[in-house]
Amino acid sequence: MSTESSSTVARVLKPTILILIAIVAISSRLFSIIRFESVIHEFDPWFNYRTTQHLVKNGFYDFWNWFDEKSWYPLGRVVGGTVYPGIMVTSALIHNVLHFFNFPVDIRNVCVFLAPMFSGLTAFSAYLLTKELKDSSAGLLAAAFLGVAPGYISRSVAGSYDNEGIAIFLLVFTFYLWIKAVKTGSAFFGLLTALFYFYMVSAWGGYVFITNLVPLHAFTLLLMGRYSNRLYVSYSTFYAVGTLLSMQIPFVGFQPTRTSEHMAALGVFGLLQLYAFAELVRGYIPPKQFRTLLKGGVAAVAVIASFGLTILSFSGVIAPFTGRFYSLYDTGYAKIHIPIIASVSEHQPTAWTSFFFDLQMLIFLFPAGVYLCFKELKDEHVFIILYSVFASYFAGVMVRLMLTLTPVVCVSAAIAYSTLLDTYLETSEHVLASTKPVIVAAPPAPAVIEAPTAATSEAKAAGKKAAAKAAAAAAAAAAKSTDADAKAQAKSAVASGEKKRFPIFNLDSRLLVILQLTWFLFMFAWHCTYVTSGSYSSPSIVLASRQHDGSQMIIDDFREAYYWLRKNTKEDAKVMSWWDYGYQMAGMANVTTLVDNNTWNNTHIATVGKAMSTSEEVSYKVLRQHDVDYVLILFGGVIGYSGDDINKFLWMIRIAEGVYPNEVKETNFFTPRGEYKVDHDATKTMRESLMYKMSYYRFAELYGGGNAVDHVRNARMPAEGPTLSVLEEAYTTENWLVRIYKVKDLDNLGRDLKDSTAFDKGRVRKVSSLKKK
Amino acid sequence: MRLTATTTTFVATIIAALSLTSSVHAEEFWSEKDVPIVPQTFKITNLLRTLDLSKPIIREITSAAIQNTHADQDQTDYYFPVDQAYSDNLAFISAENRKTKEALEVTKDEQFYDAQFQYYKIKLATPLPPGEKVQITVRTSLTNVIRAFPTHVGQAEKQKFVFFGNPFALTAYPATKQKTTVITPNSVLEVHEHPEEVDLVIKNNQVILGPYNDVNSLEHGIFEVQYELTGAIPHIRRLRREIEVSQWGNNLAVEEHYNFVNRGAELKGQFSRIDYQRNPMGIREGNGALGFQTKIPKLARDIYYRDEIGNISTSAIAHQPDHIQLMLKPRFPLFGGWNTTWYIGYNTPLDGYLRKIAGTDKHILKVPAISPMPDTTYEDVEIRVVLPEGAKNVKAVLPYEVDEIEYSTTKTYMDSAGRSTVTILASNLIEDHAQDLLIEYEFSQTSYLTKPLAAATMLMAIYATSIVFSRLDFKIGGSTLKK
Repeated sequence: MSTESSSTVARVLKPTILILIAIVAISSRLFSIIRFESVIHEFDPWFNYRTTQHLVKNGFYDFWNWFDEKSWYPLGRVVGGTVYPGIMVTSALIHNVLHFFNFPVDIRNVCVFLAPMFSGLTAFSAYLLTKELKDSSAGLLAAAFLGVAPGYISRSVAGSYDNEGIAIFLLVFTFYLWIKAVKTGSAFFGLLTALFYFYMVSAWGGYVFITNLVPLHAFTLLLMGRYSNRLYVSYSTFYAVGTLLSMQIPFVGFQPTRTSEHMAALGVFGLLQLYAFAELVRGYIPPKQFRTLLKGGVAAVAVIASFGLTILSFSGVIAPFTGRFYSLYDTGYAKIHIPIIASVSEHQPTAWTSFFFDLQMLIFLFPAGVYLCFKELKDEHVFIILYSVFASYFAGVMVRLMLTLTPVVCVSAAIAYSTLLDTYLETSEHVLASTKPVIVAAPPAPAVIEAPTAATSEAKAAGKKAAAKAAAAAAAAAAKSTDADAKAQAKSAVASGEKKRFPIFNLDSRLLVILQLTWFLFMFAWHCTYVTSGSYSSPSIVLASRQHDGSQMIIDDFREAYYWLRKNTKEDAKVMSWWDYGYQMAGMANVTTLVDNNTWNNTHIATVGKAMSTSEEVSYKVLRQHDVDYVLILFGGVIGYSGDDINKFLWMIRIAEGVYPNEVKETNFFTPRGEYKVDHDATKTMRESLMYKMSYYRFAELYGGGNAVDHVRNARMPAEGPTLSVLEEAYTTENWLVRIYKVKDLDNLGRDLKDSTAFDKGRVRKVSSLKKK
Repeated sequence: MRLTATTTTFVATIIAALSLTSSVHAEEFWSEKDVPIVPQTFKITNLLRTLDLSKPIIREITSAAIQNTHADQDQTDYYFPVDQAYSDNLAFISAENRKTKEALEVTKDEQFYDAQFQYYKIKLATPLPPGEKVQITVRTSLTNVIRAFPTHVGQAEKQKFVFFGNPFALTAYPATKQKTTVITPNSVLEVHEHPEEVDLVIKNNQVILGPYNDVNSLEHGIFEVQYELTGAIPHIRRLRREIEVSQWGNNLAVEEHYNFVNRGAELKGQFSRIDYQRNPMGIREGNGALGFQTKIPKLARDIYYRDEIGNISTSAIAHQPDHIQLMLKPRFPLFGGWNTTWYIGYNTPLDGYLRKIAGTDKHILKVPAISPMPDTTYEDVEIRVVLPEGAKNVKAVLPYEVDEIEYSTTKTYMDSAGRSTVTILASNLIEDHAQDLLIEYEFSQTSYLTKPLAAATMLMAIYATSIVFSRLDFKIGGSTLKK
C-alpha cells in the first residue's frame, strides 16, 4: 500500500470511525429509554427541566428575572440569579432552532436526549485533545474509551438532564483549546478557550477546576523555566476575556475577584505580567543591574502582594474558602460542620472498588499513559500530568468527582494503549525505513530474528507484562526515531541494549500481545455495557422489580403520588417533605415546597427536620406557621425500599439539632444500647416523632394485627400502631412507598386537636387530666 | 312517601308547600303563557314515555301515536318541545317511525322558539293525510341533570342521586292518554315528589306515573326521585383529538388528550389505602373509577398512554375480532370529585379511511369524530384534522350540528407551505356522537413530490455551504502561519 492511498483511506476512515464512536456513545446511553421511557431522571434534572420549560414558555428575560415563589415557601427563590443557566439555554436554543425549521420536537425530548448527544461531542473532543498529545490513532482510542466509560456514562444517560451532561464536553473541549493555544501561542485559540470557559462557567460549578488547573499549568511551566511568548499570549487572553465573560453569569458575579477559589488564576496572571515585564527589562539593561533590580522587585512584589492579600482576606473583601471546598481538603470536615453536605451520598469519599467499576482496564493503563507523558514532557504533557494528579485526588475524595477524572484517564490510557499497538502493529517497511541508522551497525536479517527471540525468552522469564512494557518502550523509541530527539533514543538504548530498539517482527509474540489487548478491549466493552445497563440506567423515579415468574413489574408510586398532588389539591397547596424530593415535587406535582435540593438555607431545612422529628404538638406549630397543607414522606417498609425517610431520619435529626439544639437531640433517638430501633425497643422520643408516626400509621393493620414486619429494617412492629391527631392520612400509594398527610385545621370548638380526635373516636378524656387543666 | 320530611331541595320544598297549601293543580300553577306557538295540527292519541335513569346519561324515549287533526291538509312537520332549562343538557336527539324503524330527520327549529321552550322539528317520512295516525319514537339523551345527594360519601359507600323533572311527557299537542315509566338501576329508590292525580306504582326498579288522561299540551309538574347509582360518573371536561393524515406514509396518526373528572358524590374525608386494600370489593360499591375502556382500530400500532409526567404503566390491550380494546387504568383510583388528565395515541394504516374519487384529485377522508367511552359525557371537544401538505379545497361534512368549524394551516415536520387543517369545536357530546365525519379535499399527484424535493433542496444547501466554507481561509495573516 502506498502512503498516499493509505492517507486517503485514513481521511475517510477517521470521520467514519468518529461518527461510529458517537453513535455507540449515544446508543449505549439509551438503555433507560428502551427499558423504561423517555423521562427525566432523579432529582436535580427535574429542576433543570422545570426551568427549561419556563425558559421555553416565557422567554429568556422572564427566565433571567424569574422569582420562583413555588419553592422555599415562604422565602421563594431568585432562580435567574442562583442557577447555572448553560444547560437550560442550550436546550432552549436547540428547541427553538428545531421549531424554527418546523420540527415540533417536544422540549422534554430535547432535554432527555441532550446528555447523550453531548457525549458524542465529548468523544470527539477527547479525540482532538489526544491528537494534540500523541497522534490521531491514540485520539480515536481516547474517543472510543470516553464514549463508553461508565464513569462518564453514570452522569450522562438519556434522561439524566444535569449540568454535568454538557459540562464534561466543555471541560474536555476547553482543555483541548487551551493546549492548542499554548502550543500555537495564538490569541485566537486563547480567545476560543475563554469562550468555552465562559460556556463552562454558565453550565457547571465545576468550572472552578478549569479556573485552577489552567493557571497551575501556566505556573508549573513558569517554574520549569518554560516561559514563552506563546504561554504569555494564550494565558493572558484566556484569563482576561474568560474572567470578564464569567462575571456575566449572575450566579458567579464578582466571585472571580472576591473568593479564594479564584485567586490562583489572578495571581498567575499577575505573575505572568511581572515575568514578561522582567523579560522585557532584561533585554534593555545589563545583566548585573538587572539582577539587583530583579531581587528588589521580587521582594517588593512579594511583600505588597502578601500584605494586600492578608488585609483583603481579613477585611472580608476576599471570601474564605466555602465549606464544600474544605470538604475536598478534609473529608471529615463536612461531617462535623455541615451535615447537609455530608448527608448527600454523592459527596462521600469514593470506595476503591468504584475506580475499577467505573473505568475497568483504563485504570491500569492510566499510570502507563502518565508515564509516557513524562517521557515526552512537552508543555501539553505537563498539563495532562497535572490534570491526572489533581483529578485523581479529587476523585478519591468525592464520588461525584470521578466524573472529572474519567476524561484524563481515557486520554492517558489511550496514549498507553496506542503506544502498545504502535509497537506491535508497526509495518515492517516503515520500521525498516525508520531504523536505518541502526542497521548500519548490525546486518538486518539476524537482528530481525534476534529481537523477537530476546523478547519471547524474556517473556517466559519475566512474565508477559514486563516483556510488553519493555518492548513498548523500545518500539516507541524506534518509531519516534525520525523526529524525536536523540536523547531518548540513547536512554532507551542504554536501558535495554541495542537489540531491543528493533521492533517485534515475530508473528507469535505479536499475535500473543495483540490478541490479549483485543481481548481486553472486548472485556472493556462488555463491562461498560454491563455497568451501564445494570447500574446507571435506572430513572429512579420508576422502580422495576422482578416478579416470581420472572416478569418485570413496574413500581410507579412516586409519580402516582405526585400526579395525585398535581391534579387533586388546590393550586397553591404547600407540601412539606424532606429536601430530597423538593425538585421532583415542584416538577411533577407542581406544588409549593418548603425546601428542595438547592439546600441554600440550612435553617429552613433544619426547621423541616424539626417538624419531622418532634412530637405532634411541637411540629403542629411549625406546620401552621409555614401554612403547610400536606406532608409527604417516603416509606419503604412494605416493599423493602431502603432509601426511605426513616433511614434518612438521622440526618434530619442531625441537621435540626444543629439549629435547634434545645428541641431536638440525636441521643434521644437511640436506645440505651446505642441502637437505632423502630420496633418495640424504639425510644419514646422516636415513637412520638411525627416521622415515625406518619411512617407507621395503620401499618400494622396491613398484616391483620399480628406479625407486622418492616421489610427495610427487618423489625417486628408492635401490633398497636401510632395514632395521629394533628394530621390525617390523605393519600397512600399502591405500594405504600409515598404517604401524604393532610394537616388538620384548627378545631372548630377551640379544643386541642388531640382531644378532639380522642373525642371523635369515642374516647373520653380521663377526669384526672381535666382536673389538671 | 309523599310531600314530607325527605324533601331535598329548598326550591322543591317551597314549590311543594305552595302546591299543598293553595291546593292548586300543577297545571294551574304554571302560568297560562304555556300555550304552544306551533300550529296545532296534531293530536296525540296515546303516548308512552320511558325515562331511563339507570346510567349517568339519562335516556328518554317517547313513543307517541299522533293523528293529523287538520281539516284538509297533509302534515309533515311534527314539533317536539324541550324546556329551555334543559336545552343545554340535551346532548342528542333522534326520531324514528315506530313501525318501519325508519329514521326521521330532526332539526332544531329556527322559526318557533320562546324563552321557555325550544322546538325540534321532526319531518315525517311521508305526509300524513288528515285524520290518519302514525306512531313515532323520539329518543333524547340528557346529560348533567342528576346531582349527588348526599353530596359526600365514604370511599366504599353507595352514592345516591336525585333526579328532578317533569312527570308528564312534554308535548306540543294535547294528549288523550299518556304514561311515564321511570327506570332506576335498582330497587333502592325513594320518590319525593309526584303529581297528586294518580297514585304512583313502584315495581322493583320502576316507577310508573300515570296513565293520565287528557293532558294538556306543555303540561308541567313536579317529580323528584332519589335513587342509588353506584360507580363513577365519568365526565371529560375537555377532549382534544388530533388526527394527522400522511398520504406518503399511508398513515393516520391519532392522539387524544383527555381532561377527566369523576362527577360522583365527593369523597368524604380522605382516601385511606388500607381500607381500600382490605376491602377490594368495596370499591365497586363506592364511586371510584379504576379504569376506562375505549376502542381503537384493529390495525393500530405504536399505542401509547401517557400524561404530563410520563408513561402510565398500567394499561392493557385486548385484541377483539374487529377492534382493539384499550383498558386504561389511571395512576390512582378516581373518587368523586377527583381529576386527572392523560393522552393516548396510535398509528393506523390509512387504507380504510381514505377514498380517492377515480379520475379526479378529490379525496374523501372518513374518520370517527370521537372514540367513545361508555356512559361518558364530553363537555368541550376539539377535533383537529391535519391533512397532507398540498391539500386544497377542504370541506368538512358533519353528521350533526357543532359549534364551530375552522379552516387553517399547520406547520410541522419539513413543511414549507403548511398543511391544511380543519378544527371542529363541539360541546356536550356523548357516545352517540361517535359517528363518522367526512372531510373532502383535493390532492394532486404532483403534491407527492414537494416533500422529497424540499428535503433534497435542503441537503443540497447544506452541502453547498459546507463546500464553500471549507474552501475559505479564516486565518489572520494567512500563509505566514503555515510553515
